[in-house]
Amino acid sequence: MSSQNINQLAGHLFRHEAGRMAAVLARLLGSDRLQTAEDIVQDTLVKAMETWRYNGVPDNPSAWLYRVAKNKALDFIRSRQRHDKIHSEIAKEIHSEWTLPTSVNRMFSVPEIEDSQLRMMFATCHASIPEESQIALTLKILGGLSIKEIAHAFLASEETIQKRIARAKDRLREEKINLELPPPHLLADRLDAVLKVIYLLFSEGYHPSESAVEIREDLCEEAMRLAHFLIQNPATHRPKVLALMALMCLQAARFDSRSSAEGPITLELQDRSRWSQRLMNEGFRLLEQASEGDELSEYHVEAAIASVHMKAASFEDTTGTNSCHSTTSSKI
Amino acid sequence: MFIFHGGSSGSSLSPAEAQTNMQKWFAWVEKLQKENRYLSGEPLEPRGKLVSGSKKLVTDGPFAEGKELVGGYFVIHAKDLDEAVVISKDCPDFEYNGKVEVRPVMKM
Repeated sequence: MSSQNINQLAGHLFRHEAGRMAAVLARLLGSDRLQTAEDIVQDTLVKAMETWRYNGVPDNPSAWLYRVAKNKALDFIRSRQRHDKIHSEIAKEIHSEWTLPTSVNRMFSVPEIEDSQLRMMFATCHASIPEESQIALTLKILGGLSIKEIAHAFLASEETIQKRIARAKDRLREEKINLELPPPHLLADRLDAVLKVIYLLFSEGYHPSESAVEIREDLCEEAMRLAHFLIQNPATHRPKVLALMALMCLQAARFDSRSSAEGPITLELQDRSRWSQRLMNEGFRLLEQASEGDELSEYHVEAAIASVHMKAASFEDTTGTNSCHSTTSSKI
Repeated sequence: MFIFHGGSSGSSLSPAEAQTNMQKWFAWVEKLQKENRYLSGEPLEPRGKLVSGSKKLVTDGPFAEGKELVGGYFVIHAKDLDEAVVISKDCPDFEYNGKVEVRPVMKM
């Protein structure tokens, strides 16, 4: 074992893989078996933790995790088949031993994983689930955060978050919300709901609050990661999504310069050299791309305001600053 | 020999906590290797059989509660038991109520 092991696990490998596996497993087992999907993910990570600490990280850690998760899923499906039907889109395939291993394997391929995550997003952000429950469930399932971590980020009690998640799961079951992409005529509305959750998630992380900086950064990063899924899929690659991502990039560029030991620093006083040039450029580029169509969303407006502020060399140079005092959040 | 009981694998860690815990284990093993103390280590599967009595009765394991289950072992170099105990205190699983059984391997 070498220091390479430690680097290989840099970032949020476990958290992100937990999200991927939960989305795929829920798709395999049906949205009424979300808990089973989560249990399999938990067991898989425990197995990795128990084994890797002695033997080191395998060459392809993700593939290792998927193999374990697949086998656990197969065991579960095989033990259930006869008396307890599985309700999922691929139920037919998995009810026959001929096609079962192949379809489980296929579901763990990269395109299917991405597709499953997208489907899961539309399910966890379904309009029949109360908004605060949508946010909590999205973070739990797709973000791989525990109830304790979500509670910490939202300065809520674990019991409150637990309730929100339980309610979301009940709704998924009661309303028989399938893990599928919405049909074209519903897509725009359903996408709005998803974007709203992403926006709220980002705002929660972005606003200076009592919770630790790392947790707030995690929320922002998670929001951007979810938006990235939407951008990557042709069905959801829409100007509105690009505008929201542009807004988040422009705000995130200022993350480090907004706070000091004495408290938040407003836009006027921020050290502009500390803004992330990479995120700023990404934000400008996305905003330009978002403005190619004739769609204009609230995200376009907010991103445009942020970009005006950030293109200027100093706060005084900002054109029309007086008319741009829209919200305090755009100033921090 | 360090025999690890319970700890992180017995408690339900979040993915992020599990990853942090594992990184601590890697760092520990690396430190032991740098000091030329680490000899070997293996995880044990959480299943097994127990064969006992004159009738050689076979029972299914595991043989302890989840929180007491042996997860694996390390064999390390130490000058005596006291030194081994000091070294064992770096085990990252104490924060999850893990236990380390420290046993000298008998020299023939």
